[in-house]
Amino acid sequence: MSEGYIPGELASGEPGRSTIGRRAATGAIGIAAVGIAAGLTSWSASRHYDHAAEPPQEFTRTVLAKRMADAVPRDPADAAWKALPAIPISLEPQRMIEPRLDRAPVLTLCELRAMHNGKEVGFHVTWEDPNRSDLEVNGQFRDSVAIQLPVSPEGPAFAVMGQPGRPVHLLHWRASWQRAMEGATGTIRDAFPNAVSDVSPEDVMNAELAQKYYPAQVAGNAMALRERTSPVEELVAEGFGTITSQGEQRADGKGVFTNGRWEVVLVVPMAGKENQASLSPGSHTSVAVAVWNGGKGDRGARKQFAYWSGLELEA
Amino acid sequence: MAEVSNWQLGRDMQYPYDAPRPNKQVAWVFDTNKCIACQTCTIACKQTWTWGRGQEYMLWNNVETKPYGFFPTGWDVKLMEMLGPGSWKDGVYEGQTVFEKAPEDLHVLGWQPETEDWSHPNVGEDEPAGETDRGTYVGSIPHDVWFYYLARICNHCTYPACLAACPRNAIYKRPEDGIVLVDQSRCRGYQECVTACPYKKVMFNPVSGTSEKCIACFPKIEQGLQTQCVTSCIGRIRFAGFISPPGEVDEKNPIDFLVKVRKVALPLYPQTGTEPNVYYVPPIHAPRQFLKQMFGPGVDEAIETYTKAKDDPELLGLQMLMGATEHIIHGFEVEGEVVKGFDAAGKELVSVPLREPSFIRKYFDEVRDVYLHNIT
Repeated sequence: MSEGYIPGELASGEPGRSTIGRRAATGAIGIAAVGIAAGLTSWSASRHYDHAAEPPQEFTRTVLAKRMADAVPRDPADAAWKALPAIPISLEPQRMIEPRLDRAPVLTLCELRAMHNGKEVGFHVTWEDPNRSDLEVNGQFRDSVAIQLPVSPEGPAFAVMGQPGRPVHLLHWRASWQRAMEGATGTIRDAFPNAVSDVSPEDVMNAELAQKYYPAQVAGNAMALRERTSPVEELVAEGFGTITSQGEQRADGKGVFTNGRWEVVLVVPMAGKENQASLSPGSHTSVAVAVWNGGKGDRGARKQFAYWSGLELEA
Repeated sequence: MAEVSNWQLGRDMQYPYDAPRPNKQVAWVFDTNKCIACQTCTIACKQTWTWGRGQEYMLWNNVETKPYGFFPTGWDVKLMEMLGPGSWKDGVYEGQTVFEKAPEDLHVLGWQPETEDWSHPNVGEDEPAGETDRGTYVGSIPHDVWFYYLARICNHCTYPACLAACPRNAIYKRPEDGIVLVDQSRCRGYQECVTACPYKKVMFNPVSGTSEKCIACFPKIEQGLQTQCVTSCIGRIRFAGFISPPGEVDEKNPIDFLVKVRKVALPLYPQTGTEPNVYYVPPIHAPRQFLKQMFGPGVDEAIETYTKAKDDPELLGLQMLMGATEHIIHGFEVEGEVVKGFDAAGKELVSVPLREPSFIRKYFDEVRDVYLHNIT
């Protein structure tokens, strides 16, 4: 393993910039301390690490985001998407940090397309999955896909979740959120259509009081939102375990499952503020992808991911 | 992995964090001999904390019948299967804990229950072990036909497996009282904690998309009050309080007295290595082999001491103090035939007679030529 700054910074427990990952890095509460550092003690994939510490000067692949005159279509089946070449992106199982992907990889490739119209950039990802998994209940997990962009294109961040001081901007589409967009009730009946349940707080008290029974929602946890306006969440990360929902949510998209294949579009404005990628026509940056197979138990760090590819935005 | 000390195992063990003990550690004592599985605790907990949407099958407190009752289904059978045999020698556990036996890609050895496993909280209720036939009479202790009730909440472990497994550090143990909580703003519903908890006391809420668990009624604990499951218990089987750190004993503290002085209350499956903080008085009538697997090597001594409680004023006194006040009893004292409980400042909370007045009638009424069912 070569001498690199990534584990050093993480292991020192120094807080990252702003508040992102502060608690994870410093363990401000109780004994949940130095988790990241502890995780790194069993760091095993040295070749992954070397790759990150010394990123290749030339990307093996560059994805061209073609400039379009019209709006970026949300429908993955739109002819404008199909007209673009599909760039194959190779995926690897995440085995750097616990919980590692403890199963044989089910995917070796996904396909990526990109376009922009000067205001929005869109990504179109397709991959094979024999089963649609869009429920999140006990012991069941959802399919999902994430697009990762460096906040700053100079000197790419670590390819998996960034690193302290070099945040990455993430767009995360989830099949369960897509399902919620398409008419799920947000009750136990989504998972069990015939389930019978007794009265719940909102049936017998005003909304303000009833809220107290939903702490994750009150805490502003994006996972707990009742009414979804987008199946895509915008996040920022500065290393493993630091993923944090962006304050302002602007991303949009749509996922469609047909014949054992997911096709997902993720769209985000090109102008970015703090902790967001800021893109402009003619610029170069990088892009990475991660795919989760919910039916196989993938969630969180149990995922398949791709290293950086180049991303060129057509002038 | 760090080396930490686990007094319940009688040895040091591996844990993912160098976890200092909290300033205070909340703890409970449950007397299984007095539990009648009325589930009042279960309902008190549910009505207080988990009647929202997505919590339909969530019971932070449950009471299950042993050996055939489980919530979730088969939780401890699977745990024992996973851990494999592990023997005790002179009070030292020689087997492996859930941390020491963790697979290479994880911090904790665990398993993920299916949704259906959470759907049958009353499975196996009142189902006895052993064979019965018409006319079977159970007349000896231990019983050859037996079951008992095991009331369960989160153990607020000293070395929580849920915390060890969370990749986001969304679970924390409060330094002020040792209560283990899931930070509802950080949790992203990976369910790693559900998989890791050997007692299966973290549960996933599909509506909030986060995992949730027993919060030890922290708003009550912070006010010096015992938890809902304790104060609602009509069988008066429970104490909630604080346990002193290993090597320290406060003989006037009810929890310390029961766990460390008389040693009648034992941890649940201590071999997990999490150092659970709910301590059980084992049932006197169930087979010792089964009980030793569940409560460790202290079972014989605990039962021997417990069955002599009538001649032990302090042990008897503590039994009378169970359920006698909503406040946490920090100190107790027996004066003659009365036991008193005190708060943290030494102020008297309650005083209770050691023995309730009783009159025992003959079981056969000669005048009316009839046997009497209730002779007290």
